[in-house]
Amino acid sequence: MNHPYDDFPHLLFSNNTATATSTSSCVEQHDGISLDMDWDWDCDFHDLIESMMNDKGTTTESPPLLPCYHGQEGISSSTGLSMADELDHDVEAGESKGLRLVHLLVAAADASTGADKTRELTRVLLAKLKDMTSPNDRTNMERLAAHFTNGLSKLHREANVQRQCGPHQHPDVYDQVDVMLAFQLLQNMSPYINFGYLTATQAILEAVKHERRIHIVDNDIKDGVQWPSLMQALVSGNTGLSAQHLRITALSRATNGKKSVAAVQEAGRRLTAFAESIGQPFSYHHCRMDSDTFNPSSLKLVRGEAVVINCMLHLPRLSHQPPNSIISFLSEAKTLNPKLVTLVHEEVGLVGNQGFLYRFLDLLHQFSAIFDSLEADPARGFVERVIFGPWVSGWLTRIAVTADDAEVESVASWPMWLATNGFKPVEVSFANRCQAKLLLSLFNDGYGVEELGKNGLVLGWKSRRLVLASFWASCESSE
Amino acid sequence: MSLEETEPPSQTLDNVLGWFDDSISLTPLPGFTDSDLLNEFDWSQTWEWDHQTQAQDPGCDFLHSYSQDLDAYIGCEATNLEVVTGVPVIDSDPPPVVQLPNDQTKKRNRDELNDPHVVKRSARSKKKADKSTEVSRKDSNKAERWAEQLLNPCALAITARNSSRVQHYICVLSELASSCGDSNHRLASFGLCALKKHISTSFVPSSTLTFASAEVKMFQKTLLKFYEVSPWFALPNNMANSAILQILSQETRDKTDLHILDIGVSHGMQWPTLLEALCCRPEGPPLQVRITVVSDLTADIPFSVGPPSYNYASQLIGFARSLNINLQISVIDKSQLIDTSPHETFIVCAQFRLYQLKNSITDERSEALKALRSLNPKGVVLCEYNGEGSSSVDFAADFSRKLDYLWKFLDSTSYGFKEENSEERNLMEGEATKVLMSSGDTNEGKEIWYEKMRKAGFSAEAFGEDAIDGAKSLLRKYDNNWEIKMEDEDTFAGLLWKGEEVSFCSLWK
Repeated sequence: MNHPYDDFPHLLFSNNTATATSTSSCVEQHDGISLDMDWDWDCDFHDLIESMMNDKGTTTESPPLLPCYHGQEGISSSTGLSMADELDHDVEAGESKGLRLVHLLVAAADASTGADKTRELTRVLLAKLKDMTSPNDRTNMERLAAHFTNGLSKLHREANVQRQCGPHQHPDVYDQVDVMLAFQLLQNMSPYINFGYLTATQAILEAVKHERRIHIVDNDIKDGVQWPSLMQALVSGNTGLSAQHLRITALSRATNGKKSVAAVQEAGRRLTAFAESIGQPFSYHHCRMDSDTFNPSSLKLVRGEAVVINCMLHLPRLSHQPPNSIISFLSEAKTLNPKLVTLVHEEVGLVGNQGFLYRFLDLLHQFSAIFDSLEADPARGFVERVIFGPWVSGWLTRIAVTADDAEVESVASWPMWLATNGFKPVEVSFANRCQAKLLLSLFNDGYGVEELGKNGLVLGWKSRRLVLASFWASCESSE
Repeated sequence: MSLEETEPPSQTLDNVLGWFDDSISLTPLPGFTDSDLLNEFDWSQTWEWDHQTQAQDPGCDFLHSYSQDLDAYIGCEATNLEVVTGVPVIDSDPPPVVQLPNDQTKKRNRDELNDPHVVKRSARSKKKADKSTEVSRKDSNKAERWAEQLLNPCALAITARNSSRVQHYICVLSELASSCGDSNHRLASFGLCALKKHISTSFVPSSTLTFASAEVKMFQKTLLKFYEVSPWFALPNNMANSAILQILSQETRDKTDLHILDIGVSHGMQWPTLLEALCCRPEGPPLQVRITVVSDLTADIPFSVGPPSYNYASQLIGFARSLNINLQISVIDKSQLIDTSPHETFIVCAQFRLYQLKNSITDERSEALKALRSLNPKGVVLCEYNGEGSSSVDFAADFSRKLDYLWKFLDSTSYGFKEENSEERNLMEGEATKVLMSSGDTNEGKEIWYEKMRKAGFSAEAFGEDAIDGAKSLLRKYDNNWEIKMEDEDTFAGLLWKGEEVSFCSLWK
């Protein structure tokens, strides 16, 4: 009788051979070098996730294939058989440990959606993952898996609040100094942060070239690190004519608490001091929002100034702004007739209303790309711990919450929202594009800049989009 | 006529010990007195672990050394590192060097966020079944059975030929399976093995411990130990013996002999107690006691086949002689004829083996029952597994039922052995695992059996008070998750583990 499962046997046994010893011996080869996790994510797990979610009946539409950056190269057909063949070639035990970790993570994510019924299973899986990983491990995947395990564990704990009686329930709180330091270090390891700043600044400079007064409304100024370079450029751009006056209004939201107020004020102090030191006419305003809704009338406006809206969404924030808050901000800001809206965000997490599992895998994919893209650096472990740990946890909490709330995440993409809500695209200049490419050349091979329409630039790592910068203006604003 | 069925297990085991003494010397069994027993089973001890090892926080150490590195790198002083790392996840996880005598892996896996009162313990109430608590208990039972939450979907994926899904589950199961972990880990390991075998006939599991492959001394030791820690067989045997005595007591004086047809899995362990009890009757034992053992070495039913060289007949006869009982034992093949004589009370004792006869078109089970009926037994004791049965050819549904059975076995055995990873435990579990590969339909369920018995011309008979009391008293010696439930006007005795049916005993005429 023709055995129906002929494809399976080698699948089984390849897993069997991945023992702990062989894994470690393989890992040693990659001493200090990041393991390139260039798997065929889409197909290896796409089928699996889709099948799992069909069981739950969550999706009515089949999830789109994750956007590929460098075209569809390297993606084999998504049949089980070809996957079996691929696995046949997975000789490296190191890579197979990574694969095993992903399987365990997916299983844990799946089990975590089962509430009480699978609570024990979730716990067991997380315990196993914790055993197998550590934020200090050698390979990227292991460290990343450790962060994801922590994030999932947090979710698991929070979901079972009544059962806890342990004292260790603090969130991951790091000293502000450490956080700032980590961000600085991150800027050395990756263009992730600076890409947004650089392209936005360039676009702003171009937009306000002939303006006498510039008013930037900054949605989330953080430590203000975006603006010194703009000020420098303004100062050096002055050719004897009266200098352009720069005003920055930084917003803080009540929901973020006192810390954000203090941070905004501190940023103001630093920027004012810096502006003074280079001779840039500058004034700083702090707009405290009591609720999440932005009221443009609370801004101080000066006649004749060009308004620029700066919206940086791509970095781990103190607390995430829910999309509704951003939508409200942008809608209200539109009434100011901004000359330019700079929008920078991550390409991750909330893609339509897919189920939790799909978003989870997407998130894993995204972070593994980011992890891979970071330069090797002695401080890397510190950066991973201070920034990535909370970053991953934050995202996991978000996608877990929105999994239930279908209405929240209906923003398929910010560019699309802007395009259909009274904003017109502002073209990216050639100079901006070149500058972006120049930035990338300072880092690892594998980064690339892609154009998105006429008004957008995408920073990508291999086949994965990381950060998207797009530029807009309100439809009524004069050119 | 008083039947001394309520003898403490220690006497039973002494009997058996005595019986064995001729051939082997056993290590002395642990003290096993009546009153101490309940105290001995103090589960709280086994659930604690060493909290001391949680003092150090590896996370802080690491960051501290990192901050020192950073000092050098950046050249600034990182003074107040107020890093309150939520040293994450299952904080109370002791590092793997917990110094406890029992298997550490189980301890680690029993962690529950500093909560020493593991959730599942709360489900352990001795409440008599109230429908709603029954249902919720089953739910909480199900929640703790995580191995099946992976094994069952895997089986479904296999039948659906969803290869990415199958591969996923197999990968995850491989990571979690462990032959020395807790019941779930073991079930995962056994189940995974069975699934692999199903997928690929060329797959050969590493080592299979079964009765048939065991060495004789080990086998005896194991059976003894098992009867001590679990009523899985002890209780049905006890009830069967009570039933036999009950039937005998109703017999007329001209029946001087007793003839028992043993279609069971006790490997002789059942009979010493019965012989003792026969001795203790006021009128003494029957003139002659015959036991005809039906042997089937080809069966793949778990527990039915012992080591090939295992022969308890002579020992049993010797033991009987010491009690002045004239005992004869004969072993027959299932197809051989059984002879009965008019002077004897003929009783059939069918325990856990009839189910192997498949419900095929010819309906072998019913045929067998009819054949038994034609022998005109004075009574039939039928003990079988009790589950949600319905014969189906669906692999996944069938597999799920078998997993259910195996889980109850592993779980109850784990409690019985107090999670020790002993050789005896491994042998019992290895033998039980045969169910996963066996062709028979394990859990037909009480209703179907009852129907078949009636169809064959039998009618149900009630267990007497002594039998019931004896059974309940025996059960008290074991873990309090075991329960006995009488139904159908005491004709049905159900044995339950954690509120779920395991097996039943019934008496027929």
